[in-house]
Amino acid sequence: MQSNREESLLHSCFGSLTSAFMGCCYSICHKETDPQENVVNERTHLLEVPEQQQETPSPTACASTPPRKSDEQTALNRILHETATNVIDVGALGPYSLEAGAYSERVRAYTARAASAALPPPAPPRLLADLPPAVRRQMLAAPPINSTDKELITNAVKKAASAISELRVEHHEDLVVPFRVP
Amino acid sequence: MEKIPDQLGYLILTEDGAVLESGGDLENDERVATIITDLISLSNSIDPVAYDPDEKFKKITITYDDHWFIICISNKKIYVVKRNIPTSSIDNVAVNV
Repeated sequence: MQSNREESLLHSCFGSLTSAFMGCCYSICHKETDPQENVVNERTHLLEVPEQQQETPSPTACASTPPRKSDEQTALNRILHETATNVIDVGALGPYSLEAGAYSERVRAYTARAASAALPPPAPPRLLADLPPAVRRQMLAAPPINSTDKELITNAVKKAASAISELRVEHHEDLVVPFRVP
Repeated sequence: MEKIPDQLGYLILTEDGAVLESGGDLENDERVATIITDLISLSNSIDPVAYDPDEKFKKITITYDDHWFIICISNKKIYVVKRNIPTSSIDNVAVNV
């Protein structure tokens, strides 16, 4: 009797052990094949640690300068390539020549465009008007100004000149005043 | 250049002041040509607010006691004529009673 119970106990222990062992094997075997599994079970990581830090914690701690120099180098190369693609080197372009026909055609096209686009320059201010010949003949032959008009003009200008000469600044107050901050 | 009464001399200049024709007292007178050209450019720089923009001036005259100058612009040329003031007209001022 006792041996039967012991045997059954042993059997059950052995069975649970094998199932546990098989479960472990199964989980270990299947870890790499199901990386995309989104099922949350007792096997999922609580913290998602980036693989780089997991895989290479030690190399970056010991050797820091060589990777930084290579980063600089890659950055410089990138800048160099960007400049090479964006910048047009005029000096490096080969000799460029237009055919005579193409050249004259372009000259014609450009002058036509410039003429249509450009406004005429604004005329400079002129006091004297340009007279037609008939008016000019009339003007040149006209009699001189009246002597009374001449006296009037001369006196008026003399008075104006003397008035302007009497303009002056009268000093009343000081220009420079100190601030009195209490 | 047409005959002007009481004419003593004349000058015809370009707008820059180069002498095209000259005669009488002003024959080959570059000095007067330069003075007249400078006078015209000076007059061009007068502030336009001083006069009506629609009203254009027709001549400039420089009057002395016994002679006077008249300056016009026509066909982009400067016409200068030196004209005599008859002595009888000067006497008129004094004689006026």
